Amino acid sequence: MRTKRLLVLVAGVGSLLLLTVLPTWAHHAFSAEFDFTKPVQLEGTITKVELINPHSWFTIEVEADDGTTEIWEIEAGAPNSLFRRGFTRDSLPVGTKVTVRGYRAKSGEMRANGGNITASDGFTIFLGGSNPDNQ
Amino acid sequence: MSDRFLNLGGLAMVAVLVLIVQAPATGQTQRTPWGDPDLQGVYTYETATPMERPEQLGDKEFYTEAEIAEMKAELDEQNAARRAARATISRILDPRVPKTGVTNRTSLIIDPPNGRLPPLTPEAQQLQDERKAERASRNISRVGDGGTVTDDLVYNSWLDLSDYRRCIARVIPRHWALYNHGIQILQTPGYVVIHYESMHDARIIPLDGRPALDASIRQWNGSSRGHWEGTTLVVHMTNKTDKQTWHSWGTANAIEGNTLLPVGNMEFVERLTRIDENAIEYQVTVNDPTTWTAPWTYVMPWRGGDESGDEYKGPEDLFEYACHEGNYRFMENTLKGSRRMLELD
Repeated sequence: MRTKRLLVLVAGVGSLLLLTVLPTWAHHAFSAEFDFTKPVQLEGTITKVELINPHSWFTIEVEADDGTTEIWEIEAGAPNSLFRRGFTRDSLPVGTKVTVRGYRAKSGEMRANGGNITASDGFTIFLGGSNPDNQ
Repeated sequence: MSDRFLNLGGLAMVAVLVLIVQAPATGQTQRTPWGDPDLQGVYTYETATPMERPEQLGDKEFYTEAEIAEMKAELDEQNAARRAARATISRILDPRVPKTGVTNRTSLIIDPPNGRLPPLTPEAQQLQDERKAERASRNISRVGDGGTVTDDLVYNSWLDLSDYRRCIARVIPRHWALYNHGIQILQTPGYVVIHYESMHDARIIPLDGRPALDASIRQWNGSSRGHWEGTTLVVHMTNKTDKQTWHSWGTANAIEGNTLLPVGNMEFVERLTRIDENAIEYQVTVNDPTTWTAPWTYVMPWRGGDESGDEYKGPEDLFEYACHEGNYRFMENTLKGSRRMLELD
């Protein structure tokens, strides 16, 4: 198991999620962009917060086991939605160490749809968006 | 889980449920200083009620109070479990937890009496079938990590993506949304403005009896003309464009979407009536003889103030939703993702 970057490939998770009726209301079809057979858990440091429409993005630096630095972009919900959950621009400032759970992009790039993001002080927020965990 | 819940078609998965009260019109009609019925305020059109009624409920229009109580109890139980499962979530309001309760209406559709959409015309059915076949032809299956078989739609162009997701337009009249479901009504002498938070659309509806736009002019949000019938604002909306389809993510050429029925021939009669100081009853009759074999009508509340579920109490609770702002990543992810899926196929 990798200590810094853990790709969680769980047999059965995908089939479980397939049973979930994907809704028609999410702005972006999750399945068009992200692969729910590839859940990821990332530990890193926030380097950029983009509270933009239609979905926000967090950029984090992740140190891989080989010592290289990976730059991951994490999709979150609309700024309106995050704000209504209590998130502000000061909630996760640049430099915050975080753990993110989500699903990797189908393209194979270092992008993921975020589920929960947890800061080192315990602050956790559900990132929403089109994540199937939103069901 | 009871059959009733299963029959509600995923009600339990709805993010936020809003209690719909069958409130009769009471008291003095609120009026603007110039004497029009006053519909002004900030509202949400969020609702847990499905558009169509589960077939097995027949003509049953409302749940009984006992049935509502049973459903609420089940929801409370499920939400308690969800909260427990989401124990790491803190300092936030989990938007997936219903704030209030469930509706007692079994469907938004009130006509036909069975609460379901009328049959499609043969022409519309053929169109629907052709587009579903096109969609199916774009589907590839793959075996993912863990041996899971998944289906992927292949997107070849940005034109395969719907106008909804390309942030071009979203169908009005609206009838459901997970987020950005705020509405503000403003009135001036001679006009009513309906501002939708999603896409920050503003319909400026004249009340002076002018005719609709020429039939040759087609707009994403159509042409709206209003007048008062007693305390009800009646709005006729026409001149929609066939670039858009009802009521989905679809465009005429997109491979995605639930239904792929062009809205160009659809005419809408919207009726807005204040039913109490915090709520508007919003009723829409949809008529398009080229699509459905009969007109149909749905009704839903627009709720404001304390009954809006803490989200839409006033104008300060509406935010700009600049959909285009960062949408390039979505396009990249979708098109690159499809190329990757084809390589793996």
